[in-house]
Amino acid sequence: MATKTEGRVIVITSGKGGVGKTTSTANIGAGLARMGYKVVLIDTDIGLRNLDILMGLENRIVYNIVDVVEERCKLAQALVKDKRMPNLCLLPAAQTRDKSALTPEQMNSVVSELKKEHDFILIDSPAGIEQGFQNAVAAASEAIVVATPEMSSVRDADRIIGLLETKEEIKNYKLVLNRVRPDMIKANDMMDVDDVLEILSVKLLGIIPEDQDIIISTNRGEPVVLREGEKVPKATLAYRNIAKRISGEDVPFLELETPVPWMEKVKSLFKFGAA
Amino acid sequence: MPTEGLQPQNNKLVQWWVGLFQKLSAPVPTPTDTKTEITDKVDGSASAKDDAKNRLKLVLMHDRTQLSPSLLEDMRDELMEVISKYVEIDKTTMDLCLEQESNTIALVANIQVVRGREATS
Repeated sequence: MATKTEGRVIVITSGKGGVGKTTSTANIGAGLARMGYKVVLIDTDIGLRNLDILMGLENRIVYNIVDVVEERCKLAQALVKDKRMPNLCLLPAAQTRDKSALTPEQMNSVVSELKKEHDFILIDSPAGIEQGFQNAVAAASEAIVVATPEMSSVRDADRIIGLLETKEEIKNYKLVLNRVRPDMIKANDMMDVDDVLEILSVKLLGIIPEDQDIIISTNRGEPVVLREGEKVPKATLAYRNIAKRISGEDVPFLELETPVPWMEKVKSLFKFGAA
Repeated sequence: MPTEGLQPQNNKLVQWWVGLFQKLSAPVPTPTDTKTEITDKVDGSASAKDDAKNRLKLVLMHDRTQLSPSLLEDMRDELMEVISKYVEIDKTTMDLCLEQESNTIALVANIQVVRGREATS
């Protein structure tokens, strides 16, 4: 899908660590590539890179983003081609440096070069709100905030949203709610999707159920979104839907993705009365 | 807003009975565990989900306004002084807290006026 317009630059961020930023970056990126778009993923977690592992590309890295900005190599040399799809590539983070090895200005110049050749540039942000986050956000015009339905994650997401709103370059941001457990929501043990949306007053991009296939996929270096066949994991469908929504398709949320239906709520009321 | 105690007062009798029962039966579960379990079952409202929601809403209001509970208390004390210049108020019942109304956060004060100060002019 070659277009003459510049690519869209989307940062994936969360504030809190371990909620699924990198997993989401890998899967959304691979999902968009699967649809035929030309996609580049940038890992900005310098010193703690992991996107290469999730993509199964850890053995193919020669240069990284710090090598590019310090002019030890050309940008094209640092891009690692995905082994499954020729229209997907990764710009890895440096592993032996720290976040100060990169500045927002340098990010801007790298990204503006990548924009000419790609439809989507996805930037995987490190956890935190310090320089790594500032670097990741600097060149983006859209943001995806990843959170889980837990208090600490939602609180940090709120902080991130507050910071994104101060950035003029960020035109819009949406939420991906990760690790949703319908069983716990049913038992009133976990906040549901509506609860989190109400608290954060944010638009929803997608809901990812807690799914052990994500761990299996990570272990294999094969993003879960790329599973094919009749019966794929729910997380596969959820990530495919997110990719479609980003590309502009109006995709309804999956059954599992919707909050507890009202019938269940009534049922659980009766159950409570009997207990 | 100060957080409320663990159990509503009308559950005291129930807890006393259950407490007595536990003393007599073994093995005895840890006291804190039973307390929360009992209140959950008796008032029926404190699901983990609601706990999370309510606590989050409160903490986010303080985060967003950058007003900690202790700052709010300082503000209340100062306000009380100013208002007392004009009207006599009941200082013991004065309450100042943050409230969320859809997308905006409001500072809500509840001040009981005892009587107006006499005009000095």
